[in-house]
Amino acid sequence: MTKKRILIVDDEPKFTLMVRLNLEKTGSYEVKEVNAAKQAVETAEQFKPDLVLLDVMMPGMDGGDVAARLKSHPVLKDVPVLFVTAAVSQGEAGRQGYNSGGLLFLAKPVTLDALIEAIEANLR
Amino acid sequence: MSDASTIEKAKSETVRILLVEDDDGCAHLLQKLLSLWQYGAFDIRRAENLSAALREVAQGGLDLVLLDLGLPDSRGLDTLIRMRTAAETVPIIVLTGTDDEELAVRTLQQGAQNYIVKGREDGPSLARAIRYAIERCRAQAALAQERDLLRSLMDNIPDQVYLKDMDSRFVSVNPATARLFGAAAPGELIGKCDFDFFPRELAEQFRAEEQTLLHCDQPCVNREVPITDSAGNPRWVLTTKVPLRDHAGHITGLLGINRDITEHKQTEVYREMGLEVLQILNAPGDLRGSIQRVLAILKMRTGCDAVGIRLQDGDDFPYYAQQGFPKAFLLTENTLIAPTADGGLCRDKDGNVCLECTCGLVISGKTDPSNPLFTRGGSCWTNDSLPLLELPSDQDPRLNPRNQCIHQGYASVALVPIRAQDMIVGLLQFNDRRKGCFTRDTIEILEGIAAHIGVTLIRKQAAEEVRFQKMLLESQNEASIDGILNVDENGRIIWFNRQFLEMWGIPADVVQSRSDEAALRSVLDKLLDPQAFSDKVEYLYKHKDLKSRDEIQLKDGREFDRYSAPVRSSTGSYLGRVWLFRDITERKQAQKMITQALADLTTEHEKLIATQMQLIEAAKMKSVGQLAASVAHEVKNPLAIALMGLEYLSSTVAINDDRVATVVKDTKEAIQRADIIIRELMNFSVPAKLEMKHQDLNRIVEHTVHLMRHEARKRNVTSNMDLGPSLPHLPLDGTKIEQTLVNLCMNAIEAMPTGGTLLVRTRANQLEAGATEVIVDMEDTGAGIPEADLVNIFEPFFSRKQVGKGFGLGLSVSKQIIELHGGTLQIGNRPAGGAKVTITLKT
Repeated sequence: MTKKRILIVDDEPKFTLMVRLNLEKTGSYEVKEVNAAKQAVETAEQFKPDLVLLDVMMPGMDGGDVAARLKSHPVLKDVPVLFVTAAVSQGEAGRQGYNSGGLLFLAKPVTLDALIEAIEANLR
Repeated sequence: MSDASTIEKAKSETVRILLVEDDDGCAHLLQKLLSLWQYGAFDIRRAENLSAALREVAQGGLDLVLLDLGLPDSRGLDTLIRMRTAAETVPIIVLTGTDDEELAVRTLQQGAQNYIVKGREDGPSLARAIRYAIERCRAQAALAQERDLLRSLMDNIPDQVYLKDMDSRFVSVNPATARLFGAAAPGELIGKCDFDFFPRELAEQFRAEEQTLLHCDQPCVNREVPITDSAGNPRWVLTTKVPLRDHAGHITGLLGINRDITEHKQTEVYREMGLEVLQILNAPGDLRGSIQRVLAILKMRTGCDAVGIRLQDGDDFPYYAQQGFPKAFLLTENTLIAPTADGGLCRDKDGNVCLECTCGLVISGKTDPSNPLFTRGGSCWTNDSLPLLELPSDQDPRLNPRNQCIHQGYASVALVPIRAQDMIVGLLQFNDRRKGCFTRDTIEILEGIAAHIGVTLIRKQAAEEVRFQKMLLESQNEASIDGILNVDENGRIIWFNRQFLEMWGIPADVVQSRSDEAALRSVLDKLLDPQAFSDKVEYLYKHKDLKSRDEIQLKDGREFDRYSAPVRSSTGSYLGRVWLFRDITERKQAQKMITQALADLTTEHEKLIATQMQLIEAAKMKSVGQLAASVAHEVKNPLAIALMGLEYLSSTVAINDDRVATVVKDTKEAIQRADIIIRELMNFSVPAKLEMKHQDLNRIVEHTVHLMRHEARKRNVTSNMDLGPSLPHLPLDGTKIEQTLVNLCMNAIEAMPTGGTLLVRTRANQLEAGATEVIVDMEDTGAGIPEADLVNIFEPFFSRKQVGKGFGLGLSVSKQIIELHGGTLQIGNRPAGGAKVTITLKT
């Protein structure tokens, strides 16, 4: 079984590292970290992820913008995006998640179980 | 004078004689004869011709002249006439040489005392003749003097004296009589009778009287008779008529004396007039009426053409009343004020208004009593005004005369000042076209009348002032909103106003009976506490000096303010008491309403303060929420790193080591607890503004309970709903209300850790005035809330949950959200156990 490629975009390198280590340890995922939102689309074009974990509040460009570019990208437009954010409460995140194209929002701090459950649910 | 005394006098006196005789022999003889006279001495001087004799006479001191008519320088009667002329008062005895009786008689006719024929007389007879001549001459002189006296008396006496014959014709009259009848000289009247002067009727009456007097010897003494003088003026005379008799005692005529007592009679008329005026002035009546009646009397009694009374009116003295003055005269003369060129009032240097004409002068009191035009009393009067026009202005005693009175033809004018307490307040004016209407006496009487008018003015004005004040007071009292009652020192009713009767509703028959008891009974019947009322009345009647003010209540619900004060005279003696009642029912009610309104206002104010406090709290909470939101993001990232790190470690280390497992578990829980706290802080963001929409509260409740169903099931809590049918839609912010309900449900579920039942009920409650409230009850079956905690359960950060389970903000925020909707949120314990939250919202 091929590993699923997960792209995590977050301006916090320690968080992307922790997520990568945890996901890679399961043996089911190949994870690529991006800590600058501007590089997110470029990296995704090369990496061709199966799913993108996207922080919302980032310097320079926020997660919404990145998601919009991905959704309008001819190749990447069908790649599912999961927001992982510290900005909103669970309830808010849920509502906004539906508003932004049916993608799920995950609130930080998120448990590994919840994260993997959400990834698996959204992978095709 | 008796002969003896004459002789005695003759003895003592030397008789000085001038002997005018040119013949020496004859002269010697006469001197010798006279020297033989034993009763007295003769001092004889001799003149030989008339010239020498006249020189002697001129020297005076002669007692007698013995005059020879045949002198060298004069002869015959001519000698006597010349001597007579020279020595008017000296007796002359003519010496004649021849016995010429005819000449002798002629000498006597020419004024000689006697004549002596030379050679015929002896010494004594000559001497006697001389003495007799001297005495006779003296007697004649004395008689002439008396006659002159009588004549001058008759000529100058003001009484009319006349003699009439038996046919009542004037025989002799004095000048006064002539004046009365308008004759130039007394002689014109001689031979005339009364019919020539008096009206026939009067003349016949006089003639009848005089004939009775003459034939029946009935004198008439001091009878007052009205007559008419030659000018046609009525006059009064005091007549005395006595018969004249001859030596034989027969009546030959009559002597009449008339005294003009017109002035006297006039004075009497004026005195009577004064009494009449006094009666009018002392009679009751108003001032104007009295003055009008007085003026009528003055005009009638004085007979003057015009009378007027000027009284002070401000600065001017116009006619207060007048009778008989022509309109044209009144037009100009009503005012005495002299206007200045610029239309102002002329004033003197002291600032007093200048009053014009003689009236003004009299009123100003500046008349000169030494001038006959004025009296000591300050009046001005004249019986003939016309000559005043001729006076040069420097001799005119009057001031700024307008002379209108004179131009109107008023000859007699009297202006009498009216004084009131030493002030001249007006004047009486009498004008008549006839001359001579006044006398000093009548003016004095008029001054007396003016004085009475002055006194009456003060008295009547004072009386009218009192009457006016009384009227004013009574009308004020009648118009008063207070009921006023005056009682005397014995508590008897003296006076009350209509308001008093109306407010106490005292029946008309009680009023008419004037019975104090009945009136008091009528009052007491209406009182809630009649005993207290009569006690107070009795107390105040005993304590005369006390004033009192209180409020009394009537059975019909009215309230009266009662005021009572003693009434004292100006000297301080107690006259009684005045009671004032004022209906203060409305005021009291208004007072109550105001008090209520004030209380309401205070409550509203308190509410406002509370709301303000809540708003402040809300603002505070909001800022706490904002802080929490910004802190949350910063805290959540490290928490996320820590949690992911821990997940990695827990899967890497030996998990079968119990201690490691515990550390991992505890650390995970610590991170989750921190996350819960952050989340609650973020929830605690009170909205500044609600987004209201009319909606059905039941739908929100249903959704909330549906949301909570997992949480409830997890804790073995059964949630039930009992929703009231057809609740009215309410203006609500659905999100906030749901947040609140979730909060409350969460609290209730957490209050039942071992399971229980949560019941949410809704119902509508119909209020007065058509409003409806919607009530949500949320009941749990937990342990309830300790009484001590109920007080501060809504305080922010108060939490009854275990540390770490909650932040203590839920109830505080929930309450604020409900109150922002205008509703209330209450928490209490149910009698059956458990807590109960009640939300009340208004439509």
